Amino acid sequence: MLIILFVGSFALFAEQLNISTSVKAERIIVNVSLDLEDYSNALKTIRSGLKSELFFEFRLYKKQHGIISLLGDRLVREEKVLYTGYYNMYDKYYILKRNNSSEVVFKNSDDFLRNFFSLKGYNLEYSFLSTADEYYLLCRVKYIPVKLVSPLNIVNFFTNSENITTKWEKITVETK
Amino acid sequence: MKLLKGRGFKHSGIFALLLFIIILIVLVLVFSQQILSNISKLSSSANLIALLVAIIFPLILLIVILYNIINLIRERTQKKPGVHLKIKLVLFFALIAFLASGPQALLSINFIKSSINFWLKAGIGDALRGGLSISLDYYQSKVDNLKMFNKSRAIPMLFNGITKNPDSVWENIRNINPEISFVQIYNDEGNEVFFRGDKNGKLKDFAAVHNRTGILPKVEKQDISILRSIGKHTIDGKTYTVIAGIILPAYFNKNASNLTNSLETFNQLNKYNRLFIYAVSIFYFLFTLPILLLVILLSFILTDELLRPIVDLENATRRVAEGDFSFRILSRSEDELAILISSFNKMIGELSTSREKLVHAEKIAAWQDIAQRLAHEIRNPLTPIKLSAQRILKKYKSNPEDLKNILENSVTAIVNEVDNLDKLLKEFREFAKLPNPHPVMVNVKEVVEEIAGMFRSLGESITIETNGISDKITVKADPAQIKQIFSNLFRNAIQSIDESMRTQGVISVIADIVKKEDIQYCRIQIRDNGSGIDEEYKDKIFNPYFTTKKQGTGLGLSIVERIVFDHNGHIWFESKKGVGTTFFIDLPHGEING
Ligand SMILES: Nc1ncnc2c1ncn2[C@@H]1O[C@H](COP(=O)(O)OP(=O)(O)O)[C@@H](O)[C@H]1O
Ligand SMILES: [Mg+2]
Repeated sequence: MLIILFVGSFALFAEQLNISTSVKAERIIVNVSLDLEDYSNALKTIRSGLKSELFFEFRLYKKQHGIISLLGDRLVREEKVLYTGYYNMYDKYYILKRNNSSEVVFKNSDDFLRNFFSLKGYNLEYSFLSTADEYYLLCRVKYIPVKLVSPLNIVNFFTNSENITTKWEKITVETK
Repeated sequence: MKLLKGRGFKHSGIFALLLFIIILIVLVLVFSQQILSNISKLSSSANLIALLVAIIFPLILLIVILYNIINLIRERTQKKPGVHLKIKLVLFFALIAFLASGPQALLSINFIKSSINFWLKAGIGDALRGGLSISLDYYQSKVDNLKMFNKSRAIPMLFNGITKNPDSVWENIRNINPEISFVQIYNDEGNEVFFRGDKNGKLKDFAAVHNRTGILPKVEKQDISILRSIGKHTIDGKTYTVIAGIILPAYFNKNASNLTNSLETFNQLNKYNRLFIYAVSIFYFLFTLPILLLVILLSFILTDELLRPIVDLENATRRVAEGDFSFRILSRSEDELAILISSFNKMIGELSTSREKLVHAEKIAAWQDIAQRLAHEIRNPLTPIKLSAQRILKKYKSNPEDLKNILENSVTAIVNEVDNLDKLLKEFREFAKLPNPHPVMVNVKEVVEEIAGMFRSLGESITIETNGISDKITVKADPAQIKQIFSNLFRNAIQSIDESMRTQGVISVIADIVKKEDIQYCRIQIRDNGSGIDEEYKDKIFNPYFTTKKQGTGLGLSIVERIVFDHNGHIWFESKKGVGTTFFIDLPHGEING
């Protein structure tokens, strides 16, 4: 039984975060994609031999009731997915690294961009998900067009004018 | 003997602060290492915490320093000992710290800036780009070569006889295209039928590639790279899959990735160079500021510690100057200051004994003086007594009847002189043998007014002002002796005013409570507007029998001094010729009535 419970579409400035979740058995399946108004700069950066990064951050909360709710809702789980995308000039293909381990190679730039800016079918496993409780998921995406090498990365401490961090988007997860 | 405690250096405080500075420096080093290596992994909340720490920590330090500065200013207005030296030292320390860190920061940042600019301008970018394009061309030529090879129409002809004479086939391939490192051929069924060349190129899993053609993605194996191209060809009527490959040299892979990495770094440096220097400056500032502030704080503590023995010394010197020779400074430290302090103590000891000797000698001299004067004073009436007695005797011998005529005169003269002698001796006894005081609580104002009334009833036309005495001030003293003090001092004051001017004479008495080294004193001031005391007499007026008056005995002030001393008090005076004299008396304060 797969029920699509929520399809959120949140307008940001020039970029848009699309999230959909579904609950199947004892897991939450998340699809996230970041739509940019213009991908040409993103591509140009990668083609010039620089590396780009994309962080997907997830936080699953359990709603609290009564007096403890004053302390805020309980953070059940926090997960992060890191994409690193770069271009191989010799063999002329794009590489998408996930969490610094698995690698996928793309010949076509459109394929690469579509895959780089979206996370499909991400599995948050929660065997303890109980129908009695209410859960919600917070998600945000951080896009870093240029992954700076050390020590240049101290620049990140003071400016992220090029980096894009979306707001936390809240998705109610219904377990019924 | 009182001991002035000279606190030893409070090492613990300084050590704690020094440890703090060292920890901070280590933290700075570790932290910078950490963030430089993986800044991207830091979450934004960690960023925030770091920034908060970078702001809050110096802020706390700043507040502590400000508190110290305010303290210092307060001490300055209170004129605490050593405060000027302290201000100077703190300023000096701060200046040194600033001079040490300021130019260094500028220099470091400038150095980073100019070295970055140097690398950016030195044509390294062009060299890297050139190198990259050469290596790309090189690589592309290999790829093109492989492509061409597999598309070549000559292949079926070239591979004729791969089963019968594989070695000559390989030789022919090598002759035509020496760049080819290996060739591998599979038949329809997926079985390998031919392999010649570099064994590293041998493909083990045919199934994975069996329906692909063209160039395969480059394979990296240990430190070599393998380029393969796949083509389907009909040879002798059968279809074969031909895999031709080139093995790139061992260093190619490594160099290529070095080159792309360097170019990546270079491009980033080029793009973010200004921002980077800006960030470095801010980092530098954020890390140096707390250290600088800590150094300033340290300077406050250090200055305190350094000045403590000096302040003690100053204190002690002041007390000695006030005549208290019983002080010794305790010092636990073992530095030059300790030597200074011990020689100070020794000096005070010697000064004290020599002063005692001097006082003793002065006393003896004074008593000799007294004895001489007393002898003189006694001798003066003795001559007329002797003369009168001799006259009576002479008359009695020569003309006893005539005795009657002179007897009365002579005996009267003798009696007068003996009376004089008696008076002299009485006053001397008063001075030499004052009875021990029997102290009770005495109200100062009452006593002063009683004595003033006595002088008024004797017809003195002088004004005695007593408004400066609080009704409640008391001293613990012998009432008769305290009256004697005022009576003697008032008499001197009156006598110091020329008789024709007496009506303008004013004696004012003031009494208040002062605190000296935790002991409360009642300070009484007796001020007159008389002639004042000559400079040359100032250190003699308390000596017994010192007088500048025709009828003076010179014992008045001696008696006053004795009484004050007997009451554990202190007496001194200030005087200006032609303006007046003020006598100050400190007597231990009893308690405030009411
Ligand atoms: N209030 C005063 N004003 C000026 N001179 C004073 C005063 N009190 C004391 N003297 C000086 O001190 C000397 C010693 O005083 P004192 O011991 O009382 O002896 P005497 O009054 O018998 O001279 C006086 O002769 C006088 O020169
Ligand atoms: Mg006198």
